[in-house]
Amino acid sequence: MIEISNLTVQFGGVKPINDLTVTLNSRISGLIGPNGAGKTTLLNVFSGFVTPVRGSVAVNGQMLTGVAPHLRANLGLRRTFQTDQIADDLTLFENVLAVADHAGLSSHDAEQDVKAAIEYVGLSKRLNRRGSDLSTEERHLAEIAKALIGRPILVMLDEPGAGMSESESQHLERVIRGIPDYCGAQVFLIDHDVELIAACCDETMVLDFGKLLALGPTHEVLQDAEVQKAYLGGFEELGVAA
Amino acid sequence: MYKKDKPDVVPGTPIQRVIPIWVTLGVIGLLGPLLFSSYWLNTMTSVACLSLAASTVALLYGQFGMVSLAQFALSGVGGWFCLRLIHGWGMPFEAALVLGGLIAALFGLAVGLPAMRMRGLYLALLTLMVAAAFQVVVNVIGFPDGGTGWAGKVINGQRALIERPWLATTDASYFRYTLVWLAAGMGWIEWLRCTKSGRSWALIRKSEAAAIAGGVSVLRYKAWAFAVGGFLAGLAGGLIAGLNGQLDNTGFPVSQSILLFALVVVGGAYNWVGSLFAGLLIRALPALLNDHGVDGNLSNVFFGFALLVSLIQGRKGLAGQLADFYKYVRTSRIVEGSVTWGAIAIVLGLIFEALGWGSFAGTFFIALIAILFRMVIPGVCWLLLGFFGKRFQDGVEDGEAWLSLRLARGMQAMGWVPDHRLLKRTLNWLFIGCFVGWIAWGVFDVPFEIALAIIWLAMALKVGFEILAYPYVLPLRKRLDERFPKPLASYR
Repeated sequence: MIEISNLTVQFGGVKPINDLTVTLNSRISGLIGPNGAGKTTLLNVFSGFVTPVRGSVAVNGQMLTGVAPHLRANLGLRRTFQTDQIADDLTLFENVLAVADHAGLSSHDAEQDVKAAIEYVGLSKRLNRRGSDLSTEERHLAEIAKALIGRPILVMLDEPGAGMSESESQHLERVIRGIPDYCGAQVFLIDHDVELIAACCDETMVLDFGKLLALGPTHEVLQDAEVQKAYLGGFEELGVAA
Repeated sequence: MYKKDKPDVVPGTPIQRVIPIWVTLGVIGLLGPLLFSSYWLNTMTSVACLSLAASTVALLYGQFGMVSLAQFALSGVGGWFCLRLIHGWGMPFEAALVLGGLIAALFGLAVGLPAMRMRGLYLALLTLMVAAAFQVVVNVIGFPDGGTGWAGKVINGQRALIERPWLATTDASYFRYTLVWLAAGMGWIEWLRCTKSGRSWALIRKSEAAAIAGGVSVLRYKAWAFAVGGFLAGLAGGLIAGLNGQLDNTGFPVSQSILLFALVVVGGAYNWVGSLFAGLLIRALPALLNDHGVDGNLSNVFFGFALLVSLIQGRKGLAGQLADFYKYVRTSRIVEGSVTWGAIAIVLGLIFEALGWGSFAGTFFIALIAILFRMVIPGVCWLLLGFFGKRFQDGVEDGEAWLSLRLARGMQAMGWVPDHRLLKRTLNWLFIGCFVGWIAWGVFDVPFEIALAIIWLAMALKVGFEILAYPYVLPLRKRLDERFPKPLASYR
């Protein structure tokens, strides 16, 4: 369960997130919003890269605010980034093992866990391939594998489907939908791609200029007139940001 | 969904990746004292020390892209404390060496801690200042030489020298002793690179944010790298002190720190071989020039050029280029090469010794160097041509191909077996003969004509063997390559 209460983030005079209060309960929750809505900023608050001026975030009752960023992984927080972070000179196995090293597992368990995660995302054939030799899609999947290591309680995916073809997206959908059953983690999916969100998420929240625009079952949210207006680019909304 | 053409790369266990280092250094340690004159033996010992210092620069640069110009100054710190501990407390050499290294590691940490928040040019400037500060301090207090006071400096008197470790009192044994430390240090770095530390370093190198999100303490792992680097650099300083029994106040100038970094870039920061190249370039090249009566400072001109070339060619350095080249070498060529060249070198060695023209070891080694250059030089020429631009490179190759074709047709018209690579071979032979002969003349004190004879005889024997044995060797090659494909493809 993700609880965000009274969260405000401020960069100078800009408030990318403004007094946001949300509770997300579904196994797979989505977050959509136009550019500059504060999606990635929200993720960075969870990761600890951005310190909010007010408010807090908590996962399964565990308060995250105030915990050092690198210790949040120990609490079961995992995330991917918009650009994949696969080291070119390590093999896929080593890339994922690098995360397992810090998950507090014994070396045997770590290797098993890494192999299982790689198999789960469908890359077992690429176990010993160097990072630089992986395709864009494989890199995105490898990122997800990295996020499944250990016992995650929350897996946050930041635009995992960027630059994928139709068939690749379908595979990605299956992978994402299976994560809660694979490791019991809640999934928090951020994407521009409404189709991926619609296919994966039970509930979806919509952010617009740091404000909650809508929250509810995905199909209802996507039908919402306000949401469609924001997505089609309502310039009159600019006033809210300032 | 999958790219099919890329090879799989089994990373290998840590020990598998350390063993090539130990084997290489072991062979050098065994053969070195047989081959080098006393002057060259001491130069090579100093090369080994510098290689150890270079490997710490490569560790920080290759793993994080962090430019530390203070590593050679840290060697000075290690050397200072090593001398001080021996003169002051009469410690055994090894204990003083390790303690000096540990103190240098502390200094390295002190340099590294601000570096956690800095990168690129700012870190380079900061470490440059540290190196400069060390130079100033050492100019004032000097290196300990048995005097009194906390600085341990003799005023107006005979400087006392420290004794070499009891294990290694002669030049030859001290050379081997240094190589053991070098093997341990480089092996340790390689070991770290392919275990948890190395993987964490790789995550940090790729993106600090991603590393943090993966639970890596960036601060701790960067500090760890600085401490390891400081320790090994300190060891290198202590080993230099042990070589001469003392250290000179002018021995650790800022310029050497900068040069060390530049030559690590030239040699290659991502591969242990690069550190050996860096050590050779910084110490052996000036010594070679001096040996031939040329001012050793001239090597700086070469260094500048080499740095320019390696920056243009990408950041892999000489070692990276070599590794790229050897990725495509097949098993059969390695086996065939080792066997035929080993046999040729041994036979020539025996003949020359019997005739009294040269020593067995010297002849053996010169013949082996000739083969090494035979494989390396074409690639080096190619790279150097690339310096003048792709069009020029292509133009030269086209010109060479055109001329070779004419030559081959001419040969065919005469009724001979055409050789399409006659021109390349001839140039190669001329160049290798002259160049390796020149080196051998300096390093092994072999007369130039004898060296030339050894080199050309060896190459001629090899060609003769190839022509005669080709029909029999070809099927063997094929079978071997099917069984063991490209053994070095995965090496990094």
